[in-house]
Amino acid sequence: MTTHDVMALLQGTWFAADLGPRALGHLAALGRFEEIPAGTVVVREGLRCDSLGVVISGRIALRLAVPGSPDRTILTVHDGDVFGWSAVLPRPVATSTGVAVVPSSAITFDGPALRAGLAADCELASALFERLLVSVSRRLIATRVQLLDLYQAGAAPW
Amino acid sequence: MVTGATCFLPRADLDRLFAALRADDRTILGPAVSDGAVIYDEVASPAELPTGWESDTEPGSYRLRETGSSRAFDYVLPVTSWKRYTHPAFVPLTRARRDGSQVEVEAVLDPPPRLAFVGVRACEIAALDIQERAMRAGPIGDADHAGRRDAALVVAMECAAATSTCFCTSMGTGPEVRQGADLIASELDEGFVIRSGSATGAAMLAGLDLEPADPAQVERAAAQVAAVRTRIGDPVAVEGLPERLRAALDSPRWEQVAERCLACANCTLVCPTCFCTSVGVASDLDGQEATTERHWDSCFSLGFGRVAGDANFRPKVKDRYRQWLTHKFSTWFDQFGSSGCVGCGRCVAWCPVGIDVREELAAIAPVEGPRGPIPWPPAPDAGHAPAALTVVAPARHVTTSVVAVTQETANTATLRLATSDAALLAARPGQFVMVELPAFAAPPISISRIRPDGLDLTIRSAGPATAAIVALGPGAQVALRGPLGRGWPLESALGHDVVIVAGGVGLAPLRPVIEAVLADRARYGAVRLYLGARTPADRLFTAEMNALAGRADLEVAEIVDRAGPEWLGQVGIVTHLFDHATWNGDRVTAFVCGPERMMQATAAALTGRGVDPAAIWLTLERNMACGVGTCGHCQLGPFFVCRDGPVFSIAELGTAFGREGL
Amino acid sequence: MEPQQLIMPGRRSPRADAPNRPRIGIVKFASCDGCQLTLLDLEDELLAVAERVDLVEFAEATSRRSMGPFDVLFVEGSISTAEQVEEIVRLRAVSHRLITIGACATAGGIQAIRNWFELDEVRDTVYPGPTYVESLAQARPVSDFVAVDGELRGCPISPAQLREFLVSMVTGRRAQLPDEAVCLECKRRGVVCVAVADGVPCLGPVTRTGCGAICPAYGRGCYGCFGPRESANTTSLASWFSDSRSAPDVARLFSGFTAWSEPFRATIDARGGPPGQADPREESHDA
Repeated sequence: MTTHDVMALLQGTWFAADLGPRALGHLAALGRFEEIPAGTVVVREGLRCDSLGVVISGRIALRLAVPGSPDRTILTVHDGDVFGWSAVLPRPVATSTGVAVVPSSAITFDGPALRAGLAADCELASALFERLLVSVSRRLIATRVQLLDLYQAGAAPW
Repeated sequence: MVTGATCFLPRADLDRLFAALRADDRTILGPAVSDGAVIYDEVASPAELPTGWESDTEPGSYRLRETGSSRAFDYVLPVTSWKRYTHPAFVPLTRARRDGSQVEVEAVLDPPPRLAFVGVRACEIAALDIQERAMRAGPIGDADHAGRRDAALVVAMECAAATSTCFCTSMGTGPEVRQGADLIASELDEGFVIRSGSATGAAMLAGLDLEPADPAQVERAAAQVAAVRTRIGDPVAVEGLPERLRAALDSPRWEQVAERCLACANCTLVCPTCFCTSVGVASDLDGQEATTERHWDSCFSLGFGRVAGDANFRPKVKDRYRQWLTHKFSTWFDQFGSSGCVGCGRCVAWCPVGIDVREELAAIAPVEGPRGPIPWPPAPDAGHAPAALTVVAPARHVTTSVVAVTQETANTATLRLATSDAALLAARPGQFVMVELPAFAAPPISISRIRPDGLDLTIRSAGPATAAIVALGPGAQVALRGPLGRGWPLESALGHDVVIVAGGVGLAPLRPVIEAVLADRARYGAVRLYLGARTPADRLFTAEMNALAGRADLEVAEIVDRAGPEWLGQVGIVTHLFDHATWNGDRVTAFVCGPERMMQATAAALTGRGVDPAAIWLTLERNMACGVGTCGHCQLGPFFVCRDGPVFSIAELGTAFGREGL
Repeated sequence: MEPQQLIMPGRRSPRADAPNRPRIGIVKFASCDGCQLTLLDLEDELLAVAERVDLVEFAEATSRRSMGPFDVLFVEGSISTAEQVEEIVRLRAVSHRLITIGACATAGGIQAIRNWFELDEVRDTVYPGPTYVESLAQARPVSDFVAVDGELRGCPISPAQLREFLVSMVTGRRAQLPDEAVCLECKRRGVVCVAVADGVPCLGPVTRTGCGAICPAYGRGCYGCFGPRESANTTSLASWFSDSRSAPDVARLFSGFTAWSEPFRATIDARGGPPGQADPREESHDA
């Protein structure tokens, strides 16, 4: 798959849709298309996070380890959303374990290469970090709402 | 209606009026002194009236004073109001029997006593009218109240004295008696000038065969009441008061008055127009014979605002005081077309710590302050205009049989009920029923399926009553009251795209919408169903929803808050299902149900996508005891959720939705 | 405390499902016995209840004794001695549901007034002779020591509320024990407010209802024997009383059978504690 193809795929996602052509081209050059078979672990909680991925198809379940219980899925990401965002940080440690629950595909970016590329290109860096913030903020809001446990049953007046 | 001439009844002949009332088969209720105050009680003769007594009131104080006068009606006001007899403190509602699986519930409606109210003040006549409108303005007016009110003969006594807590002048209810009484009297030293105010009164007056009053006497009576008007003055600036209160919902003064307020409910119970009640259940040890009654309650009680999940809509005293004051002086207009206050001042005198509403109103909603919109919704909805007084009917309790019980999740089950009752079978999607099992409180439950031969109710077992209902087996009976409420406006979605968002057990009241839309599929645009639940095990109607997902003519997506590794579907919050979707919002009508916070987030996400707030419909849950708008529990701003809702659009609700403590 | 559901359908205690009837116990700590008496006062109704339950421990009514286990244990009395602490902890461990009855058990009772004073002083005042009396420094409610599943308040408890509680226990419905002011009961009954009409100090507005508003019905101010209700605004009420009373007199008004409960306790503390025996002021609870 050529960089041009990668660009086309990225452009179809909400993550990269409004990137300027130059930034998009630079980003596409850093990424590569990957098929992710169902069951593949793309990132592990607590371990080094080496690559960031933008999902093109399928679904990645983000899970947390709960001692004494099976892993708990707390979010799923699909078309256009990212996994492994920790890869852009200086100390890239994954905050959850990502598993493809159905056959999926993504544009993945090698962590160190992406960081170097962003350091060299401020315009791309600013656009990318903005989008990452939106994605992480969406997760934060979801987490807060899930924390409220709104569906729980409780005592009623009758 | 003033008919005929004004007559004169000498003081010594007052007993003739009493005799005439007794001859009309009436129990005479009037003022009497008891325990340091004047109350209303049965009075057999004029000798029992508070002759020679006057009262002095201050905030938090009521004192009687003996004057030695021969006049009997200068006490001004008693502590009791006439609502003691038109809206009694305890009213039996039902008798129920449970015999094995058989259940029978019948309404108790005893014939009302024939009463005569003697000594009714102008403010009290206004209060009787106002409360009547409250108890009859709904889909089903209150039969008990109507019976008692209609069976009472009113002998008004115009005020010749006032106390420092009176403010009828400002509220426009007195002190002059203009209408609403059968007989209108004014007390002079030597007797009473009296005229009729109705055909009943005219007949009674004719029977007494009195001499016409001397014009000088009539003038003295008029001068008395004019002096009262002068004495009271105009203590409360009512111009624009409803609008001013509307704009003052966040005033810091609410916290200040809450520091003094005891939330003891005295003001609401002495108030002649307050009508809020709660339902109590009594039964024998086995729960076989049970009765329900309703008793005076108050928005100041903590339990008044409590709902399933132990949430409480008005936990703080500040919230409750605000509810009372804004209801009485502002949202009462939206509901019933007038103020709820008649200016009798009882709440001022009988507050144990002397809080004075006149002072509070001036401080919270000053005349020069900003004004909010009346009626409540920015765009008036004709469907919410106060109804004309409805035909009253006693409550109907329909016995239905359980055909089958399906366990949906660990704590939720669907009861399939059989009935041939035409009204229940004509239920519309979004309506609810009150479910009555003898010896238990009756919860409101949304109808989750309407069949040709019955209804389905999907019930979450959240307390003893709901647990007892879901424990019923096939063949058992349960009584229903309904269908109640305003349902989903499906007709407004015709020709539009439809978005349905369901959170948890919120799918239950939405299922009839899905079925109605699919039954008439061609008349709607694109149909999208978004389902949210806590965990995969908490999803409702999974087989049916899976079948829907297989259809080509609608889009179904589901998401759960959390899951184990066996779940391969989406995890997150329900708005994730469409926050990156590409569909256009302006052709969408949305129907939403779930936990209120979820509905708020969903509504925000939908309006963010361009969906018109007037086309986003949700269904609200509030503590309900009567389900027909007379117990007051379910009020939200100007709305009675049971009667104006439970389905509302976001536009209608405006700032009422999502506001803390309302 | 919210009205408690005693036996939740679907979560019945294991014994209730057994062929045997639920085992009920009634025990007493530091108290006058009046609350247990209310049980006996139910007379015929008690017999009807007794047919559906197994009264295994009720010293006042039967010689049958049991150390447990209990499906429901009613506890009267405050915890005042070291032995009682041990016993309540032991009883809690063998009881599926523990229900406190009466002001002593729910609030510490009138004897909790001693909590403000030195135990020796109080003991020597009451027992001039060399009597062996060994108590804890404080008389405290049962809930200070163990988890409590429900409570019936009052001094003594109300027969009507007890009846409602027992019926709810047997039928499975929620017990209707409203947490609202005594004022609602007065007004429903048509009792003239002694505070407003006679200036009699009355704790009704801050006290939980349940008694049927007995005291105001006889022209006497409520003295709070059912204890503080939710949102009890004693600060405001005490401030109102203070307009015509000294601080010790206002403290005395709250120093009754439920003095140790918050916020009555805080209101008393703010005025220097309950007036001691050395206080020369004339006792006056009625106007």
